[in-house]
Amino acid sequence: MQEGETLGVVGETGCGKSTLGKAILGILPARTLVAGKILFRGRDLTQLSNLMYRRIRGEEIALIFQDPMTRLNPLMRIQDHFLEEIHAHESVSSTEARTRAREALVSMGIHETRIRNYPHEFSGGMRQRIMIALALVLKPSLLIADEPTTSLDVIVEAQILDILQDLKEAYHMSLLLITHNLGIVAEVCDRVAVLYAGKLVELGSVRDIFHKPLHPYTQGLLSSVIHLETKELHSIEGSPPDLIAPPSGCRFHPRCSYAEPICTDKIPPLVEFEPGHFAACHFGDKFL
Amino acid sequence: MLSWIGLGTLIAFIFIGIFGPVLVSVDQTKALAYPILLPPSLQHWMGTDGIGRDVFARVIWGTRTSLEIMAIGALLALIAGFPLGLLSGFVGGKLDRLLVLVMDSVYAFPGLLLAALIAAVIGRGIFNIGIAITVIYIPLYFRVTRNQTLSTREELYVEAARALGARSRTIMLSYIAYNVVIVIPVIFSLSAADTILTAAGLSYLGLGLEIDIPGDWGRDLSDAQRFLGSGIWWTSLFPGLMIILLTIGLSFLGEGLNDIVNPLLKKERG
Repeated sequence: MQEGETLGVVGETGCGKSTLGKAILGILPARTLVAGKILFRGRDLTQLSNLMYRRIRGEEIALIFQDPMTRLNPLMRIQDHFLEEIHAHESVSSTEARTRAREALVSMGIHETRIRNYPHEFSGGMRQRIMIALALVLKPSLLIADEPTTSLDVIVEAQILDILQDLKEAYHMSLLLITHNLGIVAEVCDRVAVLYAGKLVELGSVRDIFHKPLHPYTQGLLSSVIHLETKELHSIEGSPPDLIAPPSGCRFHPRCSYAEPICTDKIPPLVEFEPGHFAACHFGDKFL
Repeated sequence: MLSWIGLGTLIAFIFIGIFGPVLVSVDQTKALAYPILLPPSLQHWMGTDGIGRDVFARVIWGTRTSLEIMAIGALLALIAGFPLGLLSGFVGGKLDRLLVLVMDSVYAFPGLLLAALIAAVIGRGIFNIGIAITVIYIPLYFRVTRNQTLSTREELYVEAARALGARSRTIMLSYIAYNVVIVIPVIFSLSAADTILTAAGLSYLGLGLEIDIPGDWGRDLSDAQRFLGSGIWWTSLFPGLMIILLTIGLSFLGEGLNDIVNPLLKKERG
């Protein structure tokens, strides 16, 4: 990712989007096998000790989750959520911590008198805003938003997206937006990464992805959006594979209308078919 | 509501236990203080027993004894079982497996038998009986705390806190312990009720407390047995009644608290 950009990560349910977010933060379940590298500002996160990783979480990289209703401790006041987070990372006085908590809440458009309320006293949209405030109070440089608006209605969704945009500019933050909603991606993202069955199948700028999709899966995704006028609905044949025993070669080949024998045998490498536009398909150049 | 009756009963007994012995002299509980086997009268509200002790005085002093044992037993079991359960559930792994093995082994033993064995080893006395009872109740606190910890640990807000950099220690204390503590008063009341019965059982069997202790409901019951055939009812009825009332009171308290706490738990998850 580039500094200051918004990268959208799209894919179906179960393709590994959330796992990606949690892997970056190192909060996958304890016995998960993690292979490979996660490079953040020159450091490989997979090599970090627990202590160092804990410092990064919230301070340099923050993650907001999809379901705001269950992500706040019901027994703790909102103020305590902030105080605990601030104290876990910095040694500041209680007064200063409380001030920062209040400011963070107000910047989200929630009145500061509500700081002593409990989570159940807020609506879903407000809880999501509180979560965003908690994620940003330490001013991280990368915010990972895992389907932040999926469980919210469209009006609130628009508000949240606006907030994320504004904050991105105000804090010079990068945003990794994980979503299955292509509409949001088109509106908000600079670049897009498309995931299928746990693999990256295409990566490029928003224009390239939407106007010149190289991978058949991306093409399928784009045409599966209901057409505004004709109201046609095309879907991709078949269903996502079982990740425990995925198809050989290209994982998409069972559902791909362009599949050839080579697709079953050889895993397609991620190739830069044009500057900044990558795809993992043996026949990517056919679609240029 | 049930819990109010229970609470009231418990408070009444505590009151008796604290102030009773102040008002009723210990001499009345000594052997041959009075003529033996007098039926209830104005001088002896509950009569006298087989060795000339005032039954009312015995019952009052017995309240203090029972409450002391209950306090030691149930409280120490809580102090030992709660942190162990929390740690075991939170950390898991080999420690957890070991502790569960130990606790389940103790839990499998019949309580009275185990308490009697421990009492035989460490000797008589209120404190020692308290310890013996502690041991048999630690597994209960351990198990309940561990179960609550295991389920709270998987709550989504715990994962969210971790994503923001929360320390494991913070999570264990602020997040999990806070949630788990809710269940403790229920278990405390119910195990306290059981403690009273266990202590009385031990005394009835002649184990655990010294013979000349000023008040001991269980032993009084055991002593009163030989007179039942002769129509002497007051030496067994009153101690027995005290045992029943206190046990039922504590059970009511526990059940009542359970009704209050469990709907809360269900609502929180839904």
